[in-house]
Amino acid sequence: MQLARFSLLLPLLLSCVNAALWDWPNVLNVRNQPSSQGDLSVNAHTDLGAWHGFALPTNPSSFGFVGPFVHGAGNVS
Amino acid sequence: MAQSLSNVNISSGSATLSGQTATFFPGVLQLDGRLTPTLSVQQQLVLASSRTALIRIRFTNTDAQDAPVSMSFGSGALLQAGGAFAYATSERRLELASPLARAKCELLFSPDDSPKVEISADKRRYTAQFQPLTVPGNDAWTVYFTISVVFNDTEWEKEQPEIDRMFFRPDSLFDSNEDRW
Repeated sequence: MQLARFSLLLPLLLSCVNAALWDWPNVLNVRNQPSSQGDLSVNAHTDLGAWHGFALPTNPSSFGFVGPFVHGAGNVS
Repeated sequence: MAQSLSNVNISSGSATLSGQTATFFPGVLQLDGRLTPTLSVQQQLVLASSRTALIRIRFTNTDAQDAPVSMSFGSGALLQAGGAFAYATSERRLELASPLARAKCELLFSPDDSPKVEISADKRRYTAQFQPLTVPGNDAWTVYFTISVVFNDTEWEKEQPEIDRMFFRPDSLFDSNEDRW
């Protein structure tokens, strides 16, 4: 019985192990267009303990990342 | 309205960028676009340290013919909205100081292909114009740059050697970021 359970779970576990970050697009919405430099209502991607982050553009013709956005301060740009 | 510190303008002959998509992957911001049916461009951003974002722009040419590309970076209108910015430029480096925080933007090209970049700036906007590029047929061409946010000179001095290391093996940082996430 336990072996059967393990057999059922194994493919699921392996699929989790093999999952690449490319399999998880847009899990979070980080498309933002701050209204001003002081606009703090921005969902931004940050990492490694950085005090700043970046977002994706809402304008489809834009080819630049929005930001940097500094936590507690606002948009540098 | 705040926008991007580094909006990229790209064209290839008379072809301009089209079909742009923006995607957030865990740990990676990604923009994709296409200049021609055989010439695509991808821009990815990862945080490579707590102070610096590493950005990779990769052109992929699936045609046998070489493809000319014109590329420039610009601040758009956002610096106008932001008021007075101090700036300093040197070859491949632009430094901006805002009332909120100081952002330093440094550009560096692939070691095996080093077209020059001409940076001009005033208190409200900047432009970094690359020399005309050529993406070889059935090949790719990649450029990297960083955007660092520091709050004082001491932080910047500490970060500078880190950035040098990032540019030494930039692709490995994207790989390690992928592994970590």
